Amino acid sequence: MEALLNNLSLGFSVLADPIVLLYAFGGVLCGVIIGALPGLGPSVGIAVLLPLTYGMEPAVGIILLAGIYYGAMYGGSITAILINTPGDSAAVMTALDGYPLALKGQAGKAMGMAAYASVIGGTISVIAFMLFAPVIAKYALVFGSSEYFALMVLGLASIAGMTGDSPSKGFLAAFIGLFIALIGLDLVTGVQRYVFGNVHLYSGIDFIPVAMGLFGIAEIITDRGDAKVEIDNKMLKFRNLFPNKQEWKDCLPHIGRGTGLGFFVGMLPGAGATIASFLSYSMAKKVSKRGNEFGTGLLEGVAAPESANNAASIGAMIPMLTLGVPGSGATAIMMGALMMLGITPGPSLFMNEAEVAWSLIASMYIGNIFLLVLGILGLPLFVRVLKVKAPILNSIVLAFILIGSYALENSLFTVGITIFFGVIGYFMKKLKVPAAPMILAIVLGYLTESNLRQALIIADGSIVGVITKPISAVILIIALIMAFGGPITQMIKKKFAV
Amino acid sequence: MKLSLKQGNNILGLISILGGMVIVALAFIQKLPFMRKELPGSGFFPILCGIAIAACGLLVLMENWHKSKKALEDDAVDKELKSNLINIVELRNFAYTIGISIFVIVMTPFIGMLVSTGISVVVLIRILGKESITKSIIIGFVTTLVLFLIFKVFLGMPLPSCYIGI
Repeated sequence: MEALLNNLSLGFSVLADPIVLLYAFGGVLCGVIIGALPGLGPSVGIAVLLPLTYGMEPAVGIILLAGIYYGAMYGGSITAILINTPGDSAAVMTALDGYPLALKGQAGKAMGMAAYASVIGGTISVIAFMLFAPVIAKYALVFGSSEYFALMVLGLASIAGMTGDSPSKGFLAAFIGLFIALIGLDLVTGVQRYVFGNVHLYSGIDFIPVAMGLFGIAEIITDRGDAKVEIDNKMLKFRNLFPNKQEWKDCLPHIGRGTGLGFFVGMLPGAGATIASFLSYSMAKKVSKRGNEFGTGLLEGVAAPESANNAASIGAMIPMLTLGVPGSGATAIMMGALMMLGITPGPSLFMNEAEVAWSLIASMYIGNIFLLVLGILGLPLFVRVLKVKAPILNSIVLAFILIGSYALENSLFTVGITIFFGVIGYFMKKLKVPAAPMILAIVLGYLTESNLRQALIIADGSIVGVITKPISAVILIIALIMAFGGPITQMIKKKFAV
Repeated sequence: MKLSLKQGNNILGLISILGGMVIVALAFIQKLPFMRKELPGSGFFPILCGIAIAACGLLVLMENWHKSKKALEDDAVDKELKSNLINIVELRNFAYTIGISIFVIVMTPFIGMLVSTGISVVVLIRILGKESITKSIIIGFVTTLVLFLIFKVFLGMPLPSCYIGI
């Protein structure tokens, strides 16, 4: 316990610097604004704003990105409640009761509850994160290359199998991502792979221009339609943002359940905040005395998914930081950013980079307070941002992406890569091929290959020796279930139905 | 102009099969060995990826074929497969966004990155947003100024400049 408090105070000491606090605040503010814009979720936000961290201290960079991440998670609820257009998929369930509440003239109350539920869910999850993460990291220290290889397969298989409508498209994206990660010099043998004499490709293709293209440019091209934003500002007056005593009594149990569920679902690779909010809403509907009134405008229907999606966003950071295996597109981009800043996420992070790890945890406590303040006081600003026309916003975002991708390597070739992947990302979006598995594969590609090669060297070239090690075998079986569990269950159900 | 999801899936499947085969063929052309002294060589992972991409392409085709059969009985699936992927607004966005991005790459060595990006913002807002020229120029100027402050002043990034030093 003493060690825990010492570590936490180490984290807070980093945040004592007003500039770092300003970054944390800026991250949350940018995250909420981006999350509030329909179609732009945490992945787009982090990908587009990643250039801001160039040259920063790793602790400051990750604090900024984490702020964008959970700020965007909350931001999605603003448009879901006010104009029935969820900012991202995790806010879809919030719209079910949030928008009917707005129609009843209670948008303020719904917005207030979304903020409180997000902050409570987020804060409790940070406490759980603080307790769980170092323990997981400690146990993961015994992992060798074969276990790591298995973990990376688990991360890739689950995200490819569970993202999007079609597992075959998810896996296609993941394998293309793996291939992209292999372009450049083979660091083991020094052989050029798929470089074709182009010097820019010697060091490989960085994930940042790919992420900016796949998420940023593809989103700019996509027609999101200009949603008409007509909001009665009277509904959002300060005094209307506070639920009464009875409403708190009704909502708190759902917030508690949503937080627990969201945190654990968030930790599972591939599951993420969308599934967490869906499960939390369904559970709230089942256990509530007024279950049949869900969907007609109940505050409980806002509290349950909102607490779950923010809890899930914090839970999702555990596998990324402790095992070095991100479970979602957004955490994959964050992991890549950490690597860019010279930090290698994994079990040794809490030992070798304690300051970074604990300042991130401390920043999440402070970030949740910022989130609450912004959720209450910043609403008029967010409503104004919503009124900005899409072409204006898109043009500014495009300018930021082009300069950001240039600044990565001071090369116009990188800008070209971003544009190329913007085109690819647009077609992937149209054909419903998920982009997250591709990004995850690019981030994990080199590590997956090098761990497999090392494991094979240790096992004298025997693949059986690699996959039958007890921990690796268990992880690989879970990976198989995550990847093919859904389709197999469907096939069995169909067979028995006939 | 129409391109259904069904046709799109078929194209995706075929391109993936072809792409996977090209990756495997290129591994052999570049002489990347699959195995080396009984351990994985430089070509081990790329060849596996190529095969996996081709296999996924085949699965996409099979899934599409299976869905097409299902569509005969299920209206929702039929509607999904027949949905048009081509959207005029998006085509316009696509042409201007990609075109203006290429313009930035081409013009940067001559007029600098910030100036070319600023021009691209003005053009995009004027054409896609149909805003007045004054408003477009003001937004373009403010955006360029903010980008200059963030990347050049604050982050100290050496962006390509034009002769006036911006």
